[in-house]
Amino acid sequence: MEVLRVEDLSVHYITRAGVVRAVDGVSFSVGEGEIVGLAGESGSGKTTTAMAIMRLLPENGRIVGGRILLDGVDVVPLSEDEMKRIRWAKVSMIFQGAMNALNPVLRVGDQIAEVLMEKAGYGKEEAMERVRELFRAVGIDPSRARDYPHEFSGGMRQRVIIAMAVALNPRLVIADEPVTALDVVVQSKILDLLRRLRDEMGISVLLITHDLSVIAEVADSMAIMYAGRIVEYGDVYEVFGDPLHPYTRALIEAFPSVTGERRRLEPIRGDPPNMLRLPPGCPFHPRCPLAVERCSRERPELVEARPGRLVACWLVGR
Amino acid sequence: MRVGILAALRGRRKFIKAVDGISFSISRGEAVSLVGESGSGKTTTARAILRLIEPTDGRILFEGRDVLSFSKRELREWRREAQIIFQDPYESLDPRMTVYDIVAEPLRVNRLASGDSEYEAVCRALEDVRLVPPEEFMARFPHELSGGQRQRVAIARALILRPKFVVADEPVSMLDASIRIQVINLMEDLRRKYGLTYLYITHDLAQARYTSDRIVVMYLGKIMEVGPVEEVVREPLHPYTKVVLSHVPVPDPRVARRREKIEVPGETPSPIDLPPGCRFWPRCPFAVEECRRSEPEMREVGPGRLVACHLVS
Repeated sequence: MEVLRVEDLSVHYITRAGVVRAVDGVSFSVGEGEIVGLAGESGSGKTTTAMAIMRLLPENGRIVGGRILLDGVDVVPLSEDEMKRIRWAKVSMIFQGAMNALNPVLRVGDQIAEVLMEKAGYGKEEAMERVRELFRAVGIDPSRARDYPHEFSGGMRQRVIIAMAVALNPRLVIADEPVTALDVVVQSKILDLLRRLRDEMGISVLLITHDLSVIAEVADSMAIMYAGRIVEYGDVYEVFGDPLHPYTRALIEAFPSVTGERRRLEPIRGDPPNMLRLPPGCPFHPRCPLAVERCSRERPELVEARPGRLVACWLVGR
Repeated sequence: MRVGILAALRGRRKFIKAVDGISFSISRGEAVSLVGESGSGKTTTARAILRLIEPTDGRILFEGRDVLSFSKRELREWRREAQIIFQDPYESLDPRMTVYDIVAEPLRVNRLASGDSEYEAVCRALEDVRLVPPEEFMARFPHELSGGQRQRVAIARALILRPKFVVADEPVSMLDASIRIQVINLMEDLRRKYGLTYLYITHDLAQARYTSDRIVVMYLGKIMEVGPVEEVVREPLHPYTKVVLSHVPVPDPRVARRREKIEVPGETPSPIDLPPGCRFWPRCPFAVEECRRSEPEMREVGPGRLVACHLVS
């Protein structure tokens, strides 16, 4: 049974300048113990997808279509009260920049204990014991539960956030840019931690990031988003080894590396899409080096081009 | 130019030696990357070189003359010859000025052109950064531009005076991946076109490898290693460089998951209350007794290859 199945999800933002189709018919799934990477640049719709799953969209955001199945149950029609029971318990989220959003006037242990007491009816003593257990699981000395956020380094604060996210043993953790702004050794350790939590607690992870290297480090499968749609999906080794969509290929090319040949990289020409005025047909066609006439007229569907490989591109044969 | 500086930032009667006695040189036309993580002192170094902050000690020799002892007039000239491109394209441009005014400002401030010649200079600057046709961009305000376009405006502004030396502080880290290479390639094309000398400040070793001839690796205010970029990346000599290289994320799962990562404890400590000896010894997997007692000297172990480590001779 899949832990998460998103089916044809569409999310719109109503803005003064018009409607933004931030997520436009997106489908993917996360299996038991799987780490799925959702990659894309700003405006691709990846964070909106995450917020939709958590039902935490802002006032002007609306889920206008599709289903979000968490352990087989569609959360889209649930009331806010029903969602409150699900958040942190079945699915939790590590928000972008969360490590800088911890309450500065509460001890970190108390912040986690609060979640345990309010969401799962723990008593104070029980909660503190669980906090110590969680700290050990995420690699923080349990005695530091009495410290304040400012006494921790960035990497340690991120571990506190992770401890909070796994406190109630959720089935799925959504991690939005969990290692941006951390030094490389710390990044490594945090990604190792996510992998360990998957191995030891059976938690599935939806990892959202613009950084393909992070996905290369830990994900089992990956989806690439562009202008609110998934343009490619597959096993991580296969997508990196043989990217099928022109955008995927160009995006991988856009990351210089310390390994391999040192050569001039070719940029993707043009600018990121204007979500208020998307061109007809394939949203990537104005920047695509291989675009043909059909690309500017018809929007390609996401189809299985090879076993387990989904691509939305007219030029990729079946 | 040669830099030898000690910049101390005062904090609650303790000194943070943000940059502690570093020396390196940059040759004309070169691109050098100052690479380091948080707390390394790289940004402080860059700002001190341009005298955006005042160093506590040392010398900064530009074409043989000490920038720190410039007269007012020499300083004004220095400020035309040395320019900076900042990291944040959303903060470095005045939101109330049009693109034209932003790019023309250095000319006006230095009274170098006006009227037609100013207009021509701005056109050429915008063409250089491929914001074409220039007339289309001149009347726009920063908020009407994308991050990549704003950074191009910042580059146009920095280069309009034809400086000799440009400091670029994380110029693309806030841009989307697909735009980064566009902007970096542009910067490199302009460097070659105008014979500029660059100092890139970055935490990103992969980017340093892509853009630079040489790199200077910093840690907690000190230089650990210097050398031609390919040599340092392929055969790092300093333990810190080796550790970082083993952890740098790589956009290829086959490489990323198969390599040996050198495990080190903890995180970079705060620059206050530094222990004696080598800055890196508390985390160094190869540290010996000597490392704890005395700071290693910077030694030349090959042509242009410098390392500060007791274990490397």
